[in-house]
Amino acid sequence: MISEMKKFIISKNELKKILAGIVAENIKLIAPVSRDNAFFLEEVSDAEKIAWDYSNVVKPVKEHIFPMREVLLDFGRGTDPPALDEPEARSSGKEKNPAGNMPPVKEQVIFGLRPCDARSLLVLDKPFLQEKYVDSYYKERREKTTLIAMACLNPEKTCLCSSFENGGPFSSAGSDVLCVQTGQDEFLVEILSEKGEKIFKNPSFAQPSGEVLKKLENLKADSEAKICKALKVPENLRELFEAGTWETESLSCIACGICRYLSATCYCFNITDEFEQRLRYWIPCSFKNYTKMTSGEISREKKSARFKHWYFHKFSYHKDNFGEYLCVGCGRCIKYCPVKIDFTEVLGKIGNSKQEQ
Amino acid sequence: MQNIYLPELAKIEKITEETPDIKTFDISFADAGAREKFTYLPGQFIMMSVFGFGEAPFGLASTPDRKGYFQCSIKKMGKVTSEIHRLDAGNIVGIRGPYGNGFPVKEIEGQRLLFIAGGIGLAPLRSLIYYCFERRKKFPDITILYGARTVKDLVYKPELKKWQEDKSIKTVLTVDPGGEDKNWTGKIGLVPKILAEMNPFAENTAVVLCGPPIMIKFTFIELLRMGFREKQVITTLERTMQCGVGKCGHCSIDKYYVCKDGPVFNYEQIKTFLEEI
Amino acid sequence: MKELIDKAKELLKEKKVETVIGYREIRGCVVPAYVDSPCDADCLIFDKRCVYNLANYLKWFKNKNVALVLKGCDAKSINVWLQEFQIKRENIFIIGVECYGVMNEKSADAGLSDKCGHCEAHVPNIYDAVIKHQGDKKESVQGEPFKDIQEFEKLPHDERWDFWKKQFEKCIKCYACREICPMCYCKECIVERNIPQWIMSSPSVKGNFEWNMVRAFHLAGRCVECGECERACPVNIPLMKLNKKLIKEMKELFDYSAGQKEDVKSAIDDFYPEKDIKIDDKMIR
Repeated sequence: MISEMKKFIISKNELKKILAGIVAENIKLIAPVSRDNAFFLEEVSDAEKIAWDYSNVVKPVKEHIFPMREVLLDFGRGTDPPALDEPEARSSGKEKNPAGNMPPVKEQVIFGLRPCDARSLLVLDKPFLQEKYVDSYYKERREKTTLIAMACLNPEKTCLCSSFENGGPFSSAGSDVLCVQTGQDEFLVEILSEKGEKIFKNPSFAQPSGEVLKKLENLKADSEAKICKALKVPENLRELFEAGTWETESLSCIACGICRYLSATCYCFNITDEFEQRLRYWIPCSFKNYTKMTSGEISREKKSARFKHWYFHKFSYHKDNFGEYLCVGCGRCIKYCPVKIDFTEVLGKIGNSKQEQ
Repeated sequence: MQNIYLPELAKIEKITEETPDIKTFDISFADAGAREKFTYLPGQFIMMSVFGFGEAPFGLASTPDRKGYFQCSIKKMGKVTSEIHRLDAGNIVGIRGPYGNGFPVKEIEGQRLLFIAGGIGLAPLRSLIYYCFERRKKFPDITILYGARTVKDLVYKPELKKWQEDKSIKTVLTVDPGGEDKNWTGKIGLVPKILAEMNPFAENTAVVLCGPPIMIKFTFIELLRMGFREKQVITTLERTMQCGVGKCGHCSIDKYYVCKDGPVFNYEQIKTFLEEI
Repeated sequence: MKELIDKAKELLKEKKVETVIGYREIRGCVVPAYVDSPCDADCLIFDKRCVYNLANYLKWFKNKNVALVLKGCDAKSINVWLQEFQIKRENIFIIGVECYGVMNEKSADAGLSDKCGHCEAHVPNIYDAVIKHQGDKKESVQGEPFKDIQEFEKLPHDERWDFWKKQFEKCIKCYACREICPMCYCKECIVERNIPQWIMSSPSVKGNFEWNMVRAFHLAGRCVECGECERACPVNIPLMKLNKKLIKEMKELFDYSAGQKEDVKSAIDDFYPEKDIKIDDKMIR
């Protein structure tokens, strides 16, 4: 139990010192860094390399809990039977451990993720953890991760996090700590969990004054006002499965994987054997061979069917199965689509269309 | 914490060649404890790994009453299945499972049973057929309609012969036109057509159906035309599966995951997304 | 604009084509437009925000009569498609547009795209109708086209290796580069082959190197430098650097540039240079 809802003020240098302290304790620190005009959440060993002036990182935070490529099993070839529970000498770590003979995952702190990304992990927890079959790889990383979110002062025109019940640019849902930059060199830090308390151990940080709290309210209101997009899912979406509008809306789609990969909540993957490892990696449902059976038959052959499936999975099927949309409103799918498809616009057009055409 | 992706090691005990491209594998777990514990419902499936080549789902073709080992009938079609066909008795594979919902054996008790299968589709049905054979009081009336492209493509040929000789069940075999040989005494025609000729009784009859998607679709049409109610018609769907536990998304149709909510469905559940099967 | 709209209306009214693929504006940005009926043609526009290479959409319109609004760089793709027997000339109506530069979407100062700096195709070299440019015709800077490649080549080997390693670490294997490229039209891409698995499909640095290198090589002598792959890449990998290196090699080794003329034989992937092969329906699938 955390002692009480803690809020305090610190300077940028003090914050950097705390982050440097995390690295010093041999805990992995993941923070936004700049690379070729874009920002990514990457492991940093030097707190000075952290970027502070960004709207959002390109790849969502899910890649640190559910990696883009993750080795599940290691097995030797040429031994009979294959050494499943005794990994080969060349891999690091010989001890048996619950995550299927993989080396243990390091503790990690993710700093600078936005509230939408923090909420995305709450959404992903349901299919990975709250089902009959618990994904132990996801579970281990999730338990060993502490999230220090940074509130959004300047949401982009593609953002729509406020459309969700616990969403918003200053939302604390899903984070262990929420930071808000209230001044040039001033950060308001809010501890939300025991994990967060472990990071910010110093009891002598200043409490926020009434003035700072007022500033916080104003910043929050300003930020929320900047969000200009809203999600409106047609109530009868399921009945509009056959609407001809899907065909027209999917024409400019090129069926790449960007919206699926950069979505904060998409989680489809392939499992494959590469040489002596079994691994899993992200795969988008937009590819034809996603539903290719061994017989060669493809269940979702047409581009419009694959285009449609993404919408239905996120806004119909996932709702039926888990009680919420598979979306947090990060807006990356809109921002990075090479042909500028906006899913809120598509949903609007579908909502206006007739059932069958 | 159990690792859902970690297979259990198992040994191939026996291999039977059914057709030029289908083999039946008798498999038993390497670990005696796992052998004891393994139990399943007819209609469930397992994920079989050939380490270094991949993993694929296969329906359990044997009845759960048979202890100590289980059987899968596998058609050579892609990377993993080709590699499985290269294996010999004594080789080790990885097994995960059983997964899936299995056939609704309680619901169909006491009803007339009509099994309709095409090609390798007889394999998952075989599990239920033998399960019913062991419980004739509960399943007194059994009819089996099975068709394949040619005589060579029929699976479980010795068993089909036994079933035809068994007067307590009705067995109808058919091959596609042009698929017969000079010794063929069975019917000639596509399964939906032969089904129409048989004109089975729809009242209190459960239909269990499995085969290639095109055969399933046309058989559905026939069954509905003959008056079978949607809930009575049960099928087991084939899908590309990678995790087998409802996470990777490949097998999803509508809000169902075929590996988790299926592979057994009734017509009422899938009629809205028939185009995707 | 009126000329463009009128042309589209005329083609649709006379049923010369089923669809006109062009550009339209929505929510302040330009997107591809599909116009099926004359009354919808009023949305068509052309300005320097029209970056897309619409020839890419022919992948979904084979064997259909379509009209395409194409800039000079985009029209070169058609020449390559014709060389490779992918479409029949009579199935497409090219509405060429005279263009003096499109903007670089990824630059902060809305400058022109890199490719426009040495453009020699202000008017497409293949068209059925051409729409003249409205506004000033600023001649592009005719600099040395491969200067940046030559500069890069001067760097020591290790530095160049490190540069690409850092770039390919970012790759997420979204294949947007492949899907947006008109030249990547293979029904089954080599990465999708699994018997045998030629290229690792998972996003590892090794697999990413393999993928990007193989794609660059498969485009050698075919890439028309439309720059769409680099624009589409969400992690800003400088794909055109790779492609331009191979374009430079093709120029130096074979004095060949892709997409110049429809009846010129391809430099390196023509199996029957002495024969004159005509396209027929069976070739188009």
